[in-house]
Amino acid sequence: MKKILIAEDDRKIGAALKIRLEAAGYEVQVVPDGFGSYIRAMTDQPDLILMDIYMPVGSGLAVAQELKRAGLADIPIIFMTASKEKNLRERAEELNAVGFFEKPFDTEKLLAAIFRALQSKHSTNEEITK
Amino acid sequence: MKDMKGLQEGVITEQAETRTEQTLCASELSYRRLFEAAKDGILILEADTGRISDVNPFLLEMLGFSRGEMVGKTIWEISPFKDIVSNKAKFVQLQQQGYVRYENLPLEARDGRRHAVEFVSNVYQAGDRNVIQCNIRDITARKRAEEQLKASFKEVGDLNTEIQNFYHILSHELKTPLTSAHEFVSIVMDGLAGPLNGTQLEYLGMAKESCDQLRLYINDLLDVTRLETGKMSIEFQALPLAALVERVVEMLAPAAAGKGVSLSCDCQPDLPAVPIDKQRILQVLINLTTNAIKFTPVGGHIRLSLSEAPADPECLQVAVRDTGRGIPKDQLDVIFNRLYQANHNAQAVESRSGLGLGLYICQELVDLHGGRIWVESEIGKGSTFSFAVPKQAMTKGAHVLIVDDDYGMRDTLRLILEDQNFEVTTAEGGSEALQLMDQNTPDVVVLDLMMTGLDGPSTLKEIRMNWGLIPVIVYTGYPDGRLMRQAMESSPFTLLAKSCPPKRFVETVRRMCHTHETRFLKKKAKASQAPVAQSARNYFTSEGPARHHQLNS
Repeated sequence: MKKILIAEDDRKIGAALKIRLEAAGYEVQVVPDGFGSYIRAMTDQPDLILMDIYMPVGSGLAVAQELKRAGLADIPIIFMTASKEKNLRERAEELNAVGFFEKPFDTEKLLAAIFRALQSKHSTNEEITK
Repeated sequence: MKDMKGLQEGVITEQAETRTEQTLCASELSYRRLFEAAKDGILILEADTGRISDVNPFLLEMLGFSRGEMVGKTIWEISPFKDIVSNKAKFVQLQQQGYVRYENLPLEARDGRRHAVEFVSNVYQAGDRNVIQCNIRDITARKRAEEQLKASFKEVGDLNTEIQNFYHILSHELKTPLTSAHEFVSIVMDGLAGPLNGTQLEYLGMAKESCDQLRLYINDLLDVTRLETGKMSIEFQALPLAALVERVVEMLAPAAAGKGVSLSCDCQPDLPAVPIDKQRILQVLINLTTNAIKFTPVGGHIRLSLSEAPADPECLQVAVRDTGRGIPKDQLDVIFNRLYQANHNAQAVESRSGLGLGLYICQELVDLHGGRIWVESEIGKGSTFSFAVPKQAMTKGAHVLIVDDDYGMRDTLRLILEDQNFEVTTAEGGSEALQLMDQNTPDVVVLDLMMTGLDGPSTLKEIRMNWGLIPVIVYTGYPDGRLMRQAMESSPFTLLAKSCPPKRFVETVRRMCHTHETRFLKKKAKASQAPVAQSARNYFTSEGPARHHQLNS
């Protein structure tokens, strides 16, 4: 079962996403802050991270940056944010994010993006193992 | 006879001289009175030596010197002038050129107080000698007022930033609960919390629809806030417009198909890439197309077309044509107005989603591209919303003429615009403005209404007669009443309140420059009458009294 880490400080959104993704057959962990999600990502090595941008103790962008430095650049990250601040999408792209969603997001599109990201990661890994 | 004639001539000459002397005496008197009473400092120097031959009471008072201390001395012996005109080179320059002017000269009075003065010297002939008259105007108060004005402008700017931050936070705070509401409703609807009956599903569907509406409202509100505070940033990039048109058709095809409406596009091949902001133009295209889908009945057609603008080869034009029910004539004028929805709520609210800000936002976004947007419609047949954007980016350093009889206002506006690399000329009245325009046609005219001499409306009338639809910004503190009505006769113009934030002022000027630079209106006027009449009206309504009110509040 694929492991997905959700970094989301809004308890309700985190819970809703957990229900959604578990129903879609993923194993899900929700962490409500930046530093916590960094630690969790380091220890659990999830297959994908669904990352809010503005969280306490470290923004999603900063966490992604740190993970990259720590050699975990290959974990695909999908960002989501309720902010309309300029350039967030560009900054996410610079960090090689595989997706960027504005809240409220279209659930089906989000699920599709997660599915695609995991598929392509899977195939890349296979290519590497070959 | 000869003698007689000579004598007579002599007499005549003598009489004439007496008269001249009397006139001279009289003018000397009035000159004296002016000199003594002047509220500016006046200094008379001997042109060849630089020695002070006269000084008026006002200057003595300003500098704290007595008459005896100044008269007879050379100007460079007097302490306040020591570092300025003192150096002889300047004096020589004055002797040679006959004219020296300092915009802002600090003079230190005897008591140490510093006066900022404007210093103008001219050389005159007085009898057989040349004299230099120096006019010294204390501009300390003016400087202070300007600084205060600048400070208050800065405050307004800071306030804008604060408002902007507030809306960022508001956006975040509103969307976060909306996201979870939407999510939980969808989770239940998708049966993840157990099976549902038809009625439950229907009711939840309504709740979800409301969530979607709220999301649109919040986005529209944020866009309008950004537009109104001048924080909507546009990032130009040369892009093929056709790709965006095709993308929107592809994106919205499912929505159109779901409503039983056909959606297609037709792009003229080989068009150049144009400087646009991709996200913003996509937003305009999506908005116009979504509207078209909404108002077109089953079996109808929507066609997006892209071509060189028929009325202006300098522009590309996109048209969104539908076979919907059309828009009543009386609403065509106001449909792009921000308050359209508020004034037509009865039928509009039930049929439109969002706050009705969509077209207003489209108009503003197209404006920011230096383009125009307009609508043509026939009841029962359909509507065509079109917009055109220039192929070339606007060049910098557009030329602005500021017409205002208030020196402070003129100068402040000049500084604000020069700071943004505009080329600025100023005129203190209508007549001077028209003269300047004769020599060099500006890109935009900023016009005060209440002026002595040729007033604003009369000036505007002349401008319209001689310069056609050159963009004019009426910048006034008195938006109502007779002058306003007179000015309206020579519309279109853009109305701005004198208290508006400088950023808004600059933005409006910039936008108007683009309009002129693309020569959009002029060419359009020649090629087709209907759209220009429409856009001319929009011109006014877009900045009209409604927004004016907003600015003052």
